Parts: sequence; structure tokens; C-alpha cells
Amino acid sequence: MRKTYFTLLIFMASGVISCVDNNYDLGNVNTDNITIGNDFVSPLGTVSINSENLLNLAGESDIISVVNNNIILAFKGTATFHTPQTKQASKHLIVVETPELAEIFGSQGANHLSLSDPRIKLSMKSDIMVPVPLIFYTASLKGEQIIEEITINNINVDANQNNYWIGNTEKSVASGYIFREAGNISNLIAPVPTSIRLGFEMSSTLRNIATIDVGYDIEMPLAPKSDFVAAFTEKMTDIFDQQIIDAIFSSGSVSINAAVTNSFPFQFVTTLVVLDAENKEIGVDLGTDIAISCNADGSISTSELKFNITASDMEKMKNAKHLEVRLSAQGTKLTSGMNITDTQTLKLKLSIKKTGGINVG
Amino acid sequence: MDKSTTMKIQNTKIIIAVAFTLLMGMFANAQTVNTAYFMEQSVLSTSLNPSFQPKRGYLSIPVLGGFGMSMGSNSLSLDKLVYPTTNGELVTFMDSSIDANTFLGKLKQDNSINSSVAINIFGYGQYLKRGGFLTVDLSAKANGSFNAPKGLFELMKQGSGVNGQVIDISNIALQSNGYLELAGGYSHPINSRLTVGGKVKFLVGMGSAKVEFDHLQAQMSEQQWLITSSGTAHVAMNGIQTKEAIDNDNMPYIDGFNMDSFNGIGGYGGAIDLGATYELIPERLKLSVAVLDLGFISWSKEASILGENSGSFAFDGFEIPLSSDKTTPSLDDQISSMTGDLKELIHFTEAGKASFNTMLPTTVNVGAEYGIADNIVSFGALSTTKFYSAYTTTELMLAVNVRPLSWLTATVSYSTIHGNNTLGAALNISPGWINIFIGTDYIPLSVSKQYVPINQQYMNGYFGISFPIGRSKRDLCRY
Repeated sequence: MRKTYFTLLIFMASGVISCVDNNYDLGNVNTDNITIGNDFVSPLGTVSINSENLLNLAGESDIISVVNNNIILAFKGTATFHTPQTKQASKHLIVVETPELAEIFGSQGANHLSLSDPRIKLSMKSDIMVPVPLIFYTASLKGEQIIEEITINNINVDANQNNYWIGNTEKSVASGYIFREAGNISNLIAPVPTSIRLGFEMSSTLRNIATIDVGYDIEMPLAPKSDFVAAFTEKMTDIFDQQIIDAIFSSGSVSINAAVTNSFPFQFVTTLVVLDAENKEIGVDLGTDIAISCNADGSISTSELKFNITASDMEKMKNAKHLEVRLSAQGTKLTSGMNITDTQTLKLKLSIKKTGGINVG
Repeated sequence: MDKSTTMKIQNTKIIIAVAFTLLMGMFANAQTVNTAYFMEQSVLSTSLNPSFQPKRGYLSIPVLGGFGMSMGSNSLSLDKLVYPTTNGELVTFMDSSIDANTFLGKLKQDNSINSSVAINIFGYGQYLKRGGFLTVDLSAKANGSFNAPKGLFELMKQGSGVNGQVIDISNIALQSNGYLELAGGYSHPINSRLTVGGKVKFLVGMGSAKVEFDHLQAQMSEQQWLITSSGTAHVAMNGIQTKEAIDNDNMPYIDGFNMDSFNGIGGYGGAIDLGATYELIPERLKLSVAVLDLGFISWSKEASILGENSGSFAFDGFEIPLSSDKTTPSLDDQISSMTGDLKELIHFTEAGKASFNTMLPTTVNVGAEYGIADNIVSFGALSTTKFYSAYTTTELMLAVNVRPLSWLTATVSYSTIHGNNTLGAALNISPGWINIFIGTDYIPLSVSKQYVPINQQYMNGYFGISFPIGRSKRDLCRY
């Protein structure tokens, strides 16, 4: 208190010649527009989309196997049927429901999941020595609508183990299998089917009654062909944390740079969509149909992307909550036949250039 | 006015008050007023040169005997921190409307803010036979300083720039000391022209704290922010104990101090003042020189705590989790973790106890005074150089002293320091039974509505009341 009085005394004494400047009223300081820094550059974060994320493989372990890092989808099963006991031809049908494919790839009409080397492996055995001739038939269906049909005529089953490889190229046939060519098998799941039917038709001319055991393996190495197209959506929930909004997206303008690396065997066409808490687009255009390339030899392709959020968009960004990355994966001639592996990633290393400072007022 | 607005204004006032208190920290530990240097009647002049002899002996009134304070900065003043706008408001230098280069152009590489205060608890001075003058003074003194490198303001105002840069914020330092000073002085006329004097000071340290970052650097680029720090902290206060906490890396750090066991003295020290006065032309031209506060306080090992800092913070960006990714921590958690890591940059780890010394800032005064009209009027020139551990300052002062009456002395001074030119004034009234001194070296020519100096970097003041005792110097000379 004494100090205060003393200071006042000094001021009063000094006040004889001091002049009060009314422009300086410390009781009227406006702190609403306090801004830290004119310009900032900073790393922001890394979005890493690996095979498991991209293909939604989590929870689909029943149909997924990884061989030498290559991801392979397979629907396997067994069945037993008998040759016709009358003089009439007979057809035995196995219906394989494939809801997992929709889980992995979605069921968008634009998808065209043409694969370079899918195959159906059959392991059959009958209980009689006399070969039983069969016509093998398979069809993929979406609901009741047939997508693709394949018919193989020359299948014989006897008391030995009869292994058939029904595919579009003999190069990949494993030893112990008899190859039967089915040129259009690449498109078996091109539009994502809901089921795949396997049919075994036997002639009415058979004289012997036999029991046939069938093991089937609809095996689809995920090796896209050049006309492969699949749409994926990855969402980053709550990426626009309130602290990030306040620090970066409340004033000025922001340029987001992305150093992109892609090791998937397809190129991507990307659209980023900013959503609010209600998952509605906030109307900030971060760029649409941005191409991300891939390399022919499967090595990591790098590219740079830039997204600008202008000062006029900042008001909208205050409502930003989530980020949705819409990806269209497209096969290329250069990478056709290369398998998707469990180590491939699409990585966006984001950094920002912020102009206009960080408003903390 | 709603509650939040009221709180905002309150907070603003607090921020301004704190900023101003720091800003006005004087560049000196001296809590005296240089304008008193040529005021023969003033008791205070003996503090500026121990060879000086006041006209009469004195006995100070406890506490009111002398109260001095000084505050200032080598670069900052109110008008550099707040700016008037066209709509009648003030905005701070951090307002976006204030150009960064304009503001930064006003700063120095190191921007120091210092303050000090001294209270004279007891003071006694008496003439002895043969013209000797003896003084005994007991004072409580405290000082504090803060140094902020320009890089800190560059970071605050400019950010990292559009292409990133390395920002050096090294040499951030905060220091404060509190001690008692018992001084015994003696001034003796060697002959009719030469008077010499000295003062021996016994210092009792009550507390000291010094926190210093000798290295603090931020490398900011789009790819990474890398901030590294190293520093030391010395705290001395008898009985003080650290509070310890554990950081994100499970490392202990000093999270405050427990003062419950504080029990007084933390160190001892000593200092001397030396001075001489020579009348080159008797009764006309007087030359004087003084060296003040040549000494230090040694803080004891038992009362001291040594803290060490070595921090590193690297930020490469967050790992942005996809909705389908259940293993990556949420962004909120990552931000919290990052904030914790940032705080670790300024964490100090206790590194045992170690005694240390605090040097007093030594002052060298060199003065000349020329009197006319039977010394009723005199003109003085004083050079004051202060030696701090990290820097030196020099202040030049010209003064006009008027002694129209035997009991009245008035001085007006003009000083220049760090490009700041200021006017000072002092008045000494001594009507026989009492001696009152009031003075300042830095009269604010322009003040805010709250009487805060606007464009001055310095402010000081001294006020003291004492009782003259014994015979006057002139009377003694007659014998």
C-alpha cells in the first residue's frame, strides 16, 4: 500500500509537467484480435490407408488368406451327391452366399472387380472306378440376376482324387491339377455378386449309381486387371478437433500439402469431403477427382497434392468435424496382374501453410 | 455488461499490469536517484558516492527513512506494447493490425526488463572530529529481472514464415534476489581539496532464484517441428523443498516448491563502495568518482537447489486415425500427449544441491560539478556505468542545481540512456529539524489515463525522511 502511495506521489509530482494522453486508456484494451504469428508451416498428420483398411478386411478372416504377402479371397466348401438313379439327367447345385464381397468392396454399381487370375479348384472323388462324366457349371448372381456364367464340359470323376483347376491361364496352375480354361472367369465377381452357384450336371446315360464327394475352392487372388474399378470411402471421424479448428481454421487461409505415396497396384482418383457433426458436407471444396498414380513395377509412387482453404471458406470450416476420403481405385495396364499385398499402403503425409496467424482473441 | 465481458476486462487489466510491472523493471539494481548526486544536503547522495558528506548528520525514520524503487527496460515501453486505434481503443502488439516488422524493429536482440525496490530500515550518519563522516545503514533490497530474446517476439509475431525457419530463443532468463544490507561507511577529508570515502556492506541473503535457458531453439518446417532446450535453475532459500511430479516419460521433474519450512537466511555476502571527491577549483569545480556495490552474495549449498533442463520436442504430425482403425489413439488424446511433451521442454530435474554466487551489479559514477554565484547554482555532469553479468549500460546525466535557501535544494536533470532522453527532478527540504527528499530521474512527459508512462522505458523514484542531527559541516569546519 505504501508503495502505491509512493508511486502515486511520484506521479503526482511528475504530473506537474506530465501530459495525460487520452488515446492511452488501459481500461479500454481490445484483445479480440490477438493473433500469434503471421505465417506458420507445420506438419499436420499422416493418413495411412493400408490393405486392411482399404478393403475392410477386418472381421472377414474366414475368406481371407495371405500367401507370400498376397491377399487371396476364397470361398471353400464340400458337398456330396449321387449320380442319377433314373434314366434322366440330373443337376446338383451348390449355392455359395457371398455377402463378404459386399462388405469388402461395397456394392456400388460402378464397381468392376475384374481380377487377373481367379480360379475355381475342384477336388472330387467317386466311389466307383468307372469315370463319371460331368458338366461343371458356375454362375455369379446379384440377387436372381445372373452376372457371369461359365460352363466346363469335360470333367470326369472316378475313384481316384480328381483335381481340376478352372481358370483363365494355365501358368498359375498348381501341380496335381488338371487345367480347364474359362476365359471369362475374370469377371466372375466383376459386379459384386451376392452368391455364386456351382452346378454339376450328369448325363442320363450313366449305368452305375455312384456317390461323388466334392471339395470346392473359389479362389480369387486380389490381382486387379486393367479395367478393375472399385470405390472405397474412408472416414476420419472427429479429425477437426475443436483445438485444431481454433488454432488453424478460425482465421486467415490455409494451404494443405500432401506428400502422397502409393504402393497399391492401382491408381486412385480421390475426392476429399469435409463433413459437419451431422455428417453433412459443409461446402468447402478441397478438390475433386485428384489423381494419385501408381508405379508399373509395384514400387512406391510418390506425388504431391495441394488443397487450399481460402479465407472465405474459413467461416464454413468452423463447422468442420469429419473428413471423408472418397477413393476410386482403378487398375492400369502397367500393373495388371499384380497382387494386392498386406503391406501396401496409400499414405498422405499432410502439412500446412497457414497465413493470417492463429487468432486467440 | 455481462459477466464474461467483465472478466475479460479484468483479465486484460491484470495482463497489462503484469506486463507493465515487468516492462518497467529498471535496468539497475540501484534503487537510488542519480539526480540526487549533486544535492549536498541530501542523505541519499552518500549512497551514490561514499566520499560525499551531507551538511549534517542524520537519523532516518524507520521505513520512511528511505524508499526507492526503479523499473525499466532497455527496449520496451508502453507505446511499443499497446497501440491506439481510430475508434478510440487500444490494441496490443499481438493484434493482427500491428505490422510485425514495425513492432520487431523497435526491439533489441535481448530485451531486458528489471525492477528493484529498497527500503531503508535504519539509517544513521554523524560527523566525527577532523571532518570525518560516519554512516550506518540497514536496508532491505529486492530486485528482479527478465530477459526475452528478440526471437521470442519474432515467433509470437511472425510465426515460422511461409518457408519455415530456425528460431533461436536462447537466453531467456528470469532472476530475482532479496537480501538485507548492513552498511558501515566513513568519509574523510584528506586535505582541503580531496575527500575519500568507503563503505563496507554485509549482505544477508534471504532468497534467490535464477532460471536460465542457455539454449532454446525451434526448427520449424513443413516436415517437422523440432524444439530443443537446455537450461539451469538455481534457487536458494533456506528450508525450501521441491515438489516433484512425473512427466509423460515417467521422469521426475520439479513441479513447484514447498515453502512451509522456510526459515530465513540462505546466504551471506559482502560488498564495498569506494569514492573520492576532488575540488579542482576550490568552491567552484568539483570532480568525483565512485565505485559502488563491488561484491557478491554466496548462497549456501544447504539452502540451494539446482535444477537442470534438457528437453527435446519433435512433432512430425499426428497419426490421423481412420474410423475403421481402433488401435490408433484418438486425435484428442494425441493433442493432449503433444501438449504434455511440449511442457516437458521447460521441466527442470533436481540435480542436487550446489552453492552459487550472485554478483551485485557494480556501478561506476564519474561526476563533475561547477558552481556559480557562491554555489547557489551549480551545473553537474554525471556518467553512470553499470556492470551486469551479461551486459553493461551507461547513462549520462546533466543537472542544474539550485540552492536558493539554506534549507532548500532543487535539481533538474536531463539523462540519456539507450537512446531514451528523460528529464528528472529532485527536491530536498531541510528546515532545521527534518530532512525530506523526493526525486526521480525519469519524469514521464506523457502518461496514459492511468498515469503509466507511455514512451519512457524507465521509471524510478526515491522518497526519504530523516532527522538532521549534530552540527553542520560548516560549523565543524570552524573549529
